[in-house]
Amino acid sequence: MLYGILNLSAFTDTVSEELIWQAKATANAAARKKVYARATEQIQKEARLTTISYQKYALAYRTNVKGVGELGLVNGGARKLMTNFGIDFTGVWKSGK
Amino acid sequence: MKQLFRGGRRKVAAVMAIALVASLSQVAPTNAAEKPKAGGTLQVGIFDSFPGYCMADNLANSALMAGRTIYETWVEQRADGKIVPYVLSSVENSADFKSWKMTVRDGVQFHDGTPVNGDALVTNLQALRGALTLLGKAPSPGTAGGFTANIVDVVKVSTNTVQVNLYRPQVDFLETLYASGRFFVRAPSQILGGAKCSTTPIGTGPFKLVSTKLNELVVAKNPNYWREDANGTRLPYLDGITFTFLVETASRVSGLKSKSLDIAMFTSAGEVKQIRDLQKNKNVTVIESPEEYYPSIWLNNRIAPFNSKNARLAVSYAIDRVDYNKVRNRNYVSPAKSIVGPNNIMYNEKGFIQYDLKKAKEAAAAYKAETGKDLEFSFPYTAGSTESLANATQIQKYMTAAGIKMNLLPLTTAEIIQRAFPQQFQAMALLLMEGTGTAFIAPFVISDTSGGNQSHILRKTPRGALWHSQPVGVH
Repeated sequence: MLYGILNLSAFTDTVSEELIWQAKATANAAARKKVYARATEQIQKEARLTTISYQKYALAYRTNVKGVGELGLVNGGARKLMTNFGIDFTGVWKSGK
Repeated sequence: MKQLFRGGRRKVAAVMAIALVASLSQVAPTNAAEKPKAGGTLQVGIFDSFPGYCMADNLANSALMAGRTIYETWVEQRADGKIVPYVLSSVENSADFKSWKMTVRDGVQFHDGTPVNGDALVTNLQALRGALTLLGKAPSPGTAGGFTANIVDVVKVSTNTVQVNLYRPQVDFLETLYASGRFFVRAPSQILGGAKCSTTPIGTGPFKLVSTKLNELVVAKNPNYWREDANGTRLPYLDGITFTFLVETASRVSGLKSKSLDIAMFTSAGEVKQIRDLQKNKNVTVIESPEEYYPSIWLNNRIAPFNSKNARLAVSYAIDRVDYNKVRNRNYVSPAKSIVGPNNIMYNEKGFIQYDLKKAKEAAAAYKAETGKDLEFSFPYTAGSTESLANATQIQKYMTAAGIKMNLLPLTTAEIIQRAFPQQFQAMALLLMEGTGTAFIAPFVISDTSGGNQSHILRKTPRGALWHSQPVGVH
C-alpha cells in the first residue's frame, strides 16, 4: 500500500499507530508528548527497528564568509543556525579579501 | 477557525501590516562594524549530488541546502522548533484541527515572473498529494504522496487563501507542510512543465538557476527577491554560488585549506576526524547541527527472519551501542537510548532494547526453537565505500559474538535505493527520521499515512504508478 511505503520495517502495529494519531489530535503539548511516548515505547518493546547512535552535521567556512546565521525570519525570530540542510544563504556575504 | 500564532481575527489585519513591514526589515548583523557588502560569489563543497528538482526528486542534506537557495517553503522553522508562516502570511486552524486555512503573502513572485497566489498554493499541494498525477498533469509525487495522505481536499477560498481539509485531526499539520524544509514553493510552470519539472527548478528564493548537473548546481542572484535588509538593501548580497558535489571528504577539506572552497559541509557519519581537525584551524569557523538525526537499523517485519520478534530482539540486544559510538563515531555523537533523540517529542527510553549479550543469545536460541533455523540475515552496504563497509563490519562483529550470522551485501547506492522502499531487504541501515517533531518520524513507523481513509484518492492506485525510486533524506 502506498501509505506504508515509507515504513522500511514494513510493520503494522495498531497499538502504536493509533497512539500516534491520537497524539496528533491532542492540543495540549504536555499531554501530546505523553501519548507519543507511549507509542515509542510500544514500537521499541516490539523491536520493530532500532537505532545505534544519533547523528549531526557540520559546516566549515573561511573567514571571508560573513553573515552566517544573522538573518532572522520574515516575521521575526531566528532560524536554526545549522541543520542537515546546512545554512541559509539569503543574508550571507563575502568580505573583500 | 482559530488564528494560529496570533491573538485572534481582529488583530489579523494589523499584524499582517506589521508583518509586511517586518518582511522588509529583518537583517540585523551582530557586528555593526562589519557592514554587509554586496557582490562576490562563493564556492561550496557538498557531499550529496543533484538527482533533480521535481516532487519525487528528493534532494538530500547538503544538496537540499543548495536547492533551498532557489526554493523557499510556505512555512519555516524557528530556532526554538516552532513552525511559522514564511511565504504564507498567516495560517488559521479549525478547533478540531481538521481544517487549515492558509493565506499567501502579497508581493512574492516566482523566478519566471508569475505571482505566488492561491492558485500556486493549490497547484503545489495537489501535486504533492498526487492529485495532479492522477489527472496526467504533473509527474509523480514520489514519497510526498505518502507524507501528505492525511489531506482529504484542497480548496481555494479567495485569491490568496486556500483551505486544506484533513481526514484525521492533526495539530502538527504545519510540520507536514514544512517536511523538514523539503516541501518547496514551486512555480506552477515547473510542476506542470512535464519532463522539465526535474531539470528546471523555478522557485521564489534569493537565487535562481544558472545551470545544474548531477554533481553541480550554479545559482545567481535573484534581482527581484522579495526581502530587504534593515538598511533597505534588497537581498541577497551575493552575486552567485556554485555548489559542487565532492564525494571524498579529503577533497572538501583540501578545498577549504587551499581556498578553492569558501564553505564545505560534513556529516558525523564517517567524517568526524576531519570535522575535529577543521575545528582546530584558525582560518575556518565550524558550526554544528544539534543531534536531531536518527539513523535506524530497519528490520523487515514482513519477511523472515524478522517477522519473528525473537529475531528482532536478538539483533537489538546484540548491538553494543556504546562501543560502536566509540569505534565508529569517536564519541562525537551520543549512543542511542531511544529510536529518536532527546530533542524529539517521541523520545522515550522505556522499552528501548539496549545491549545485553546474554539476552541476545537467549533470543537467538528462542528463534531457533521457534523456526528450527539458525538466525541469519543479509545486510547491504555501499560497495566501494570504505566507511560503509567499516560500519557494516562493526555491526557484523556484534552479531557474530551473539551467534547470529550477518552476511554483508555489497551494492551500489542506486541498487540499495531501488530495493529499499519496496522493502526487499531483510535489514538495512538508513537515516530517515529527524527533527524535534513527528512529521519526519511518524510516516516511517505507521502503516497507513492516510489514517485509514478508505476513499483517499490514491487508495486504488498501484504503487508503481506513482513511485519513483528516489528516497527522502538519504545519504
